[in-house]
Amino acid sequence: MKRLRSATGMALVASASIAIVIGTASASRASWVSNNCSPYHFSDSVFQRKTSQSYAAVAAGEGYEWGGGCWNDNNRDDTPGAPDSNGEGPDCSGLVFKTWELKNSYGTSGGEYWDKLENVHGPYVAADFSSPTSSMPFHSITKSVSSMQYMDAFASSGHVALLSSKTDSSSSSDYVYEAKSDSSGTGLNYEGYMGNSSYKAAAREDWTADCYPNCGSPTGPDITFP
Amino acid sequence: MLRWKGSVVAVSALVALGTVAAIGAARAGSAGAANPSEPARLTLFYTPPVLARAGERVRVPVDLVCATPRGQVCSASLSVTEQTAGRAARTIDAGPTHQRSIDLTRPARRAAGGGGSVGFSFLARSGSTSLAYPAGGSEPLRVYVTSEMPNVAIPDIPFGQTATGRTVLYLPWGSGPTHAGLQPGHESPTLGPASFDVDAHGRISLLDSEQNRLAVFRGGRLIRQTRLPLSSDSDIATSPSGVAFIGDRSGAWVTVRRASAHAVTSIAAIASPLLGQVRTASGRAFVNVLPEDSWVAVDRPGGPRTVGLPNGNGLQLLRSGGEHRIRVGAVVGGLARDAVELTTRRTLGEVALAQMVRTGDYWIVAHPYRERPTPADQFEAIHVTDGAVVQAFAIADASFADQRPLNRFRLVGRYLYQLTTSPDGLRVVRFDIGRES
Repeated sequence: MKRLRSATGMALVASASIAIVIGTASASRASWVSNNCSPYHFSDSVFQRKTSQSYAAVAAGEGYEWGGGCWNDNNRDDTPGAPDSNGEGPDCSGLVFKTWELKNSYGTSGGEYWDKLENVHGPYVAADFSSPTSSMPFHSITKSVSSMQYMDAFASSGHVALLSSKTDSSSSSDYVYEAKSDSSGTGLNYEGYMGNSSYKAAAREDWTADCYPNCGSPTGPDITFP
Repeated sequence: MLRWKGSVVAVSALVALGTVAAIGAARAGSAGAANPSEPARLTLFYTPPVLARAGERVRVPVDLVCATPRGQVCSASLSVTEQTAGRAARTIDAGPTHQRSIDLTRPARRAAGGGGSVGFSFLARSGSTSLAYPAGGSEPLRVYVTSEMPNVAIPDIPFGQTATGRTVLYLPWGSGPTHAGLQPGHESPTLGPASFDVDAHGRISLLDSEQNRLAVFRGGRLIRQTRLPLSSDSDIATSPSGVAFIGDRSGAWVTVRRASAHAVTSIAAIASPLLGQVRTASGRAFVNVLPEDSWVAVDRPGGPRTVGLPNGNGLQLLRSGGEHRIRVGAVVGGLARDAVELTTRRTLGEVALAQMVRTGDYWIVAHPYRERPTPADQFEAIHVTDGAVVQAFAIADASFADQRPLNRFRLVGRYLYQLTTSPDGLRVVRFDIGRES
């Protein structure tokens, strides 16, 4: 009788385990990240502003996830209205981390290419970009149109965005790439961070010059109409 | 409104084995998901010169960004066409134009002696993908050239010496009709209502984007609300009678809806990735689309686009901002008139408002800021008449929630309204500017 009870108990445990297996497998299938993301990265000695600009341009139009870091390139938020549950998109600091090709180890210099489909956020939060310490692979710079270069960052204690281009609009507002919110997603936006004293400016260390590997050639002059 | 973080579910080793295998298979299939035949993504940024002084150098910074679906740099070229009145159009194949400038100095000199403006347009190409500015209409974009543009100094009002307005609407943060929705930032900006406008009767229309509603208030009380999906990038402009035009972005489109007391109707969809502003004039609505940076009449989205804000009667308001200067002027009969240049040694952010009372009579809200000795910024409302500053006062940048740069101020009649936010809620603050505008 005791053995029977024991056998019945084992059967129940087995049934429960199977139920958990099925249930968990279903949950895994339901996660956008588990279905779409995969690791692919490599150490990169050449990281240029122009390549990071193109990288961010592809992130534009995708979703936003707090703590996230994986997105595709279909120009839509694949997990709208699903905040912070392994859905599509980076958060603001995750976008800067991947776009700047930073190493996934706090304070480490050098470059690492991260495929957009690798779900990695990196070790930094917005406040790190706003008030970087000397050991960080990025530093504070003067916040002004003349001193900032494209792909430098505007950072506050809670948000960070990338200056898309050295050009600005007729109202002098700036175009930025940013992971903004669950409702807005990640995109090219039009913001007034330049004049907002809550925001500081930061630049990545050791950018490879955009002219590389042909830096001996003269850069193109103005295109002049006669 | 507050976000939540999904909890991690622990799994047994047995479960994990089976699941990992399944996930591994799924990942293997998705890793190469990018379609190499997908067209490149082109984005063209440029700083429109808008208003030039005769004889000065006219350079148009241009930045053409070409990205493959993998996020790599691709090859793209730009053609620029220039046309001055009375001359044949000329096109230059500029080739790759990453961080370069178009020099229109010579055409601008000719324009100063004749037609008064230089027309220009862009056509970017990469493989089968192309991008044209202006995207619609047959008229090119323009830089207006004038020989008369007096220079006036922006008064140097010390940081912190700000005027106090009267609060005409207060809503605490929260949910429900008498509250305003807030999304606290956490690795994202803190977001509140997207925009507002005030009609000629003093009714305040609020785009409460976090609650997906248009709410209309009179005397501080809610008189009407309409449910509609809104993003934090939306903007609103109301006609004097209170009809609202709501611009928003949806993927690669800027959409415009018309909302009256009785119905909300979609009235336009314009191919553009970014909405700048929505404004009304003479009962018509106009939308500023970006990065093209031109104005489109909502009732004629395929018609000519303009670099200035039309007033509905054939005039345009020109405005351009810079690090230390702001230029405003009017286009009358195709020529720049009553232009003025405001300059300062301080560093300026965006031009938060530029509005023409009549030609030569402008209200401008500038946004000076500093980083040292301590970071500070404030707005400065400046009234310029006939080339002279006749009134100026500073306004605190009261923004707990991030707001789009051109959605904070509205000038209606004798009042300048500011949308402010603080940790307790939202306020619309009114400043009496002393005369009808």
